[in-house]
Amino acid sequence: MSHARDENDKVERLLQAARLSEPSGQLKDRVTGAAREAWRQGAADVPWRVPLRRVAVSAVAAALIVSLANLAADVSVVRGQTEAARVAHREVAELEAVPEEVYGSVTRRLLAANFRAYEAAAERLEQYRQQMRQVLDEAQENGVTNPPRAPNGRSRLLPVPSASEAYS
Amino acid sequence: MKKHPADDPIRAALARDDPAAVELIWDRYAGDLFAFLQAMLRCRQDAEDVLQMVFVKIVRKRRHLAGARRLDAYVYQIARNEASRFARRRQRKRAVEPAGDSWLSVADGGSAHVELAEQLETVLARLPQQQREVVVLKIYREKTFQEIARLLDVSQNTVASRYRYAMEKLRIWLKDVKS
Repeated sequence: MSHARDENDKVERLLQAARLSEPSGQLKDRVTGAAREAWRQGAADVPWRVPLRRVAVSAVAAALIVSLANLAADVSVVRGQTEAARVAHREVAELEAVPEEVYGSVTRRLLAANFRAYEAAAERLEQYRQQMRQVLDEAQENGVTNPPRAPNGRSRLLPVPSASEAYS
Repeated sequence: MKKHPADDPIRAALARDDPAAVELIWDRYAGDLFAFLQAMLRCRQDAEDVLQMVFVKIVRKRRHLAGARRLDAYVYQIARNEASRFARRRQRKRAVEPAGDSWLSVADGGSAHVELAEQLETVLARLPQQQREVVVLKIYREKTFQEIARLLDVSQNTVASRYRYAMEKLRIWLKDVKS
């Protein structure tokens, strides 16, 4: 520890053998002359104006950004709504004709699959309706009291209450 | 840290918007600032140019300066910024580092002493800038760690460790040099 201190003292003494030059009188005249000239030209803004100006600029920039973002959102929503309305009235087959830039391939496939699902559901409903119509027709032909036997012993019709139960 | 009482006449002149503040600032800061700038730029000529820029900047920002919590730290911050800007410009202009007049001198002007001054300049130039600033202010301006910490706006421990690292390097580099 003391050895290091001795070494440091030695280095300090060595450094102190040299000296830094002081500013000359000529330099003083030059520098203070330039400074006085700058003094005559006036000072920069007072401190409180600087943050105030920064706040004002920030507020204007923020308002501009928000209004631009709103405008962009409005434009995209309107464009999306018109496209959606147009596409809703098309058949599934026509989805292929939807412009590529509006719907990507994945979205288009999803939409097509959705329409196909709706179509299949409608077909099933229509089949069920025809089946029910057939059952009712058969029931009418055979007489109401003797309905056809349902498969697996379960009726596909709602149970009809008997006349005595209806008036009790 | 508190306001330094030596800055009170400067503050008063700045508050009156009195150009005499320039002289007061010169008397209080010019010597230390010149040393600091020489340590940063390693060239006396460049340090003189930047000192002028610093004073012009101080005058232009005199209203900020009058309201500054610590006037000395503010002045050194201006000096540091101006010197950094100047060094960047200098680096773009010149491909190599400054090769101007020497910024260290030895009292007895013999050839051996001139050689010593050159060696000291070389080893100090090898130090990182922050360590060189501390060494120059401590050795050549006889500032305490506390004063340096105040001027450079860093902690006293930081100043001490920068000095210690610098001394370790200088010890190795100056091992064979005899005064």
